[in-house]
Amino acid sequence: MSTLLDARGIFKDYGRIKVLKNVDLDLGEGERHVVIGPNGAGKTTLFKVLSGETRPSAGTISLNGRDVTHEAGFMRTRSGVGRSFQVARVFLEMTALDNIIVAVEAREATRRPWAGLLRLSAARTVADEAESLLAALGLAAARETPAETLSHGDRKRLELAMNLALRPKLLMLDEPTAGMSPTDRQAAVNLIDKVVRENGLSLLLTEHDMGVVFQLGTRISVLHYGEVVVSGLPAEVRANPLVREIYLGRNAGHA
Amino acid sequence: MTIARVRPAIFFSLLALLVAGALIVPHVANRGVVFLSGVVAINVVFGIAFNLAFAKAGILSFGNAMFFAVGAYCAGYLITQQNHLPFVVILLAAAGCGGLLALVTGLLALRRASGVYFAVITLAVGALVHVLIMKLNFLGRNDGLVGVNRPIIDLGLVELDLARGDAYYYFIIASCALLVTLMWVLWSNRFGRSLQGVKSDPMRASFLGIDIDRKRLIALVLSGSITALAGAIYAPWAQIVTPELAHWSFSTMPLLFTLLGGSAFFLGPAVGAILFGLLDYATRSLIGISDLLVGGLLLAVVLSVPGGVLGLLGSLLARVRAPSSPRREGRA
Repeated sequence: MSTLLDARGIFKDYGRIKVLKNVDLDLGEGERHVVIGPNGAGKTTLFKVLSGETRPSAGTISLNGRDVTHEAGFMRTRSGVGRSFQVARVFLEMTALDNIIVAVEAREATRRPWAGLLRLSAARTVADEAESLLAALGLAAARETPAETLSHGDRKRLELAMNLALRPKLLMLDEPTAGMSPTDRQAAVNLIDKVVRENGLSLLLTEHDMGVVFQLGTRISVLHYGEVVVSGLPAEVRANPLVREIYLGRNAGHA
Repeated sequence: MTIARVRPAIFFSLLALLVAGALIVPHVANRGVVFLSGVVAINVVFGIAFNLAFAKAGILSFGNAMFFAVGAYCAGYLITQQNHLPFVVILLAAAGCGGLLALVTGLLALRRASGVYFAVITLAVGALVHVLIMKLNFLGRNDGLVGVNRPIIDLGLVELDLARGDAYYYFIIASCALLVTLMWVLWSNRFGRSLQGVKSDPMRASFLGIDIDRKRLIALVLSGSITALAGAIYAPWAQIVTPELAHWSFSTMPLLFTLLGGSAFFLGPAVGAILFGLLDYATRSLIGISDLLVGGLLLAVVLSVPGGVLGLLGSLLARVRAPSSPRREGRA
């Protein structure tokens, strides 16, 4: 199993506040690595650093063995990283289908910047691809609906579809089930599981919900006050007394 | 209302309507009206070029007067001093100057500032250009450039003498129609859709692999060079180029056209420019209160109809159609 993403000695300070302290994290091909930790542990900051939204204060990040520490987010996206946000970011005024079409076209434009600029409507192949993604994620009914009127969960699915349109190797999901009801949550987990398996993706996600964590993760790292305190297989992490103490707390028995 | 399926038939029939209207003018109206009509055609390009950056890429620029002025002065200088140059070369030089100025402004400010901050920076650069024009001897200082003659276009076999009769007017209409079509392509194609993404949610666009800084810069450079072209076409029409063109207050014109017509519509600024021209003409004899009247009317429209005239028409149309058939109106 080759290493897809490798972060070494990551520090991130916001002014005098040290958010990440010497974080090491790697992700092998086909692996599903879940980062857990209490609120304020630095999960989202780690996510931002890894995806290229912000630069680390110190440390190196490599993607497929290439140093991308100083590469902007869009460059990392172009080399195969899809990323979601805690609150789904989609183009609100566009219809669901248009959102995916813009994503497919972004991928095509990266590959061939000058091709098809004289074409006005989206190419047939692009539109077909978008339609099938829409159907695959169960959004076919929302085809013509502006994203702003979609529900929170539908927007998350739409964002996932846009990421899949990029044909990524690595999918980074920031709390994919945040703010969902238990039924929606289970459906989301099943969908992510299916999508990751069908597309042969590697997965890096942060999550709060222990059920989700243990269903999706093949490896778990626990972030606590900006440091990785434990990293290992789900069973190991679950058994770790330190983890029980700092994160799982009273609910450890249910997890 | 999808943006992925574009219907050229709607756009081209509207454009044909506008062009036909413009072509009738010389046959039914006097020279003064023909002159105004030519100015309106140039203003249509001026307005849409602004809106291409504003509505599609989310760039609010108050520098469009300087782009226009740079184009006009470039054409004015070359026509008066370098008369041997073909007019097409002069136009290209003007577009190049406008694009270069937009590039410099964009590189200077676009990454650092957005929204209102960027607008203020363009205002400052615009003021600098205005002062520069007023101080430079070869640009005529306060007096500007006079005697900017209408050129003769040498096509090898035929010569088009644009100085004769209404020839230059027809040239304006043809070139403006061409520029509007070019901008419509940029507005509607994959490039336009990605620009809309950049404006709608820059972070999402960036994590689709779109280089948002570059996209914004390209939008500004396109807007600047097309605006400069409009300025270059204007110079021989007015036959005089004055520093007022570079004054910041002139930058409010395309914004006004856009808000009046509706920024969400490609032809919004065109409708705004035409309405403004009509308003200006209707109040021409009311010296002194003309500006007041025009300003008041515009204020009323902008305040009471935030989506512009086309936005109002669209919602009225939707209300009429609502009971019978589902909404289907496309954005031209």
